[in-house]
Amino acid sequence: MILKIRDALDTINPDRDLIARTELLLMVKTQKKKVQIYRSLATAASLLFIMSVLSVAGYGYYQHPVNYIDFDINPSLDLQINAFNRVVAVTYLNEDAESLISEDTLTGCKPDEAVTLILEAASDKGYILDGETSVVSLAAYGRNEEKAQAVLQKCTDAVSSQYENVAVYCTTVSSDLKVEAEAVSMSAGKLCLIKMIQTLDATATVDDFRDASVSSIVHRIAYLSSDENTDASDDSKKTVIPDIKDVTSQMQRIQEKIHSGDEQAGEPQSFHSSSQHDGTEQIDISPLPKPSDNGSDHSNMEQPVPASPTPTDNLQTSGQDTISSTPPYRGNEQNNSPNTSGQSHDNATRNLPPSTN
Amino acid sequence: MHELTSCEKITAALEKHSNMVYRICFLYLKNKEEAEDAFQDIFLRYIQADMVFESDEHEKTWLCRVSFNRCKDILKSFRFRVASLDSVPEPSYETPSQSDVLEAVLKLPAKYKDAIYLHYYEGYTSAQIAKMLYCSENAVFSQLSRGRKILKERLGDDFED
Repeated sequence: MILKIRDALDTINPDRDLIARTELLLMVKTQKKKVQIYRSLATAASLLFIMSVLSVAGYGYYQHPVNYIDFDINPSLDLQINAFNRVVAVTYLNEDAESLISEDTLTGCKPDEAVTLILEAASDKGYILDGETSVVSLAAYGRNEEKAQAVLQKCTDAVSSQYENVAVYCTTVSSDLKVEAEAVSMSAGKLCLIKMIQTLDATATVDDFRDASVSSIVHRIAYLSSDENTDASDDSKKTVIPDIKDVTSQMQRIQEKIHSGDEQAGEPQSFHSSSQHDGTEQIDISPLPKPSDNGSDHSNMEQPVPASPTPTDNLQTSGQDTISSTPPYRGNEQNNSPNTSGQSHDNATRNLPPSTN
Repeated sequence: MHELTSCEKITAALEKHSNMVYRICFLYLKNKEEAEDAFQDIFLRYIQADMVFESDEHEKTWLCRVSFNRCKDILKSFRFRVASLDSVPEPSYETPSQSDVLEAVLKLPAKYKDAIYLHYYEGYTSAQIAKMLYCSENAVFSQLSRGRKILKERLGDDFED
């Protein structure tokens, strides 16, 4: 019976044609499968390449700074801020800044958070003392000035809201000034202030104030801009240095005063700065004569750029020997170490004429 | 060992297993056209599966199993159930006896047909069939017994154990 079944089933066989057709079909399908595999691999490779390019570009875009905030007490450092409003890099402009706070701590923070962290570190290390008003310079630079100004405003607000005894000199700077500040390894804010000094004292050089604190520079400006400075005797040169609550406004007044004086003398200023500080509490850095347009809005600080000597020119023409001319200030001899004694703002301040109060 | 290319693999598989696969397809579908479609479909699955077989026997068992399943799927499909089978030409037989035997086998219920075909034609033991069909050996014995009984009833004196 087995044989009968086998014989019967043996009659069922596929045609040769069917086998040939099937073989051909399978070959074609195999080739298509190979092509599909290659196509899939090519697509995957393309996607991988695109993803890699996008990742690199994205990382590059993220790491690319669009705004800069130069922070200066003195320690001085430069925060580089990306388009996502995050600190992506920190440039230390002096050794004090390097020991103040690590870059890792600041990287990834929002600028206002970073400034707060820096101030906390500065407070811990004695750069900011209770009972004394310290001045912090914040200078913003960005291709989009409005955005740079907004970042600056947030930073300023953060400082003002958290530190009552810290006055902020805030300014946006031009690209030229930023480049110039980088060239002399100095914060743009401090360079602004030094330039202001230079307009008051032609013998002053950038190196004189390289290691000076911002507070001492501000006090120096206040002193130089006072009327007593030129007219009074040595005893009466004692400049009154009250609490500085609104440094930016004060500096603007001084600048306007200088500017008006120069206009009268036919010598316009090379320095320009801008500020958006509200100046809600206007306390003069005595003895500051108020300019005629004192009540005006100080937000528009853009001054006509003059033909006066550039800071570089000042550096070239000013000598150390001439610094001792009025008053006895030696910025380059100052010690910028943290003030832990609480006696005065810093050594630079000590070199100022003694305060009357 | 030389690894076969896809083309060589296809040719070798068709050479070795085409008869068995086609036979199973025809036993189930009783239709040359359907059997040919199923035949091509089964070998397509064989290529797509891209299996690595331990031996020729393993490969044969796999193809056998796939053939059964594919044919059962086709039988269950709506398309097959509504198709007319009357116009399909029958295979030619050498003797009338062969025709009767084949017809009797073709008319067996599917579950008996598997066991009868695998045992009487392919020569598998009950244990091997049980393993292949995922059932117990006793079930295979039972299927063989019932299949034989049906064949006896249909073929009468022609069927002898």
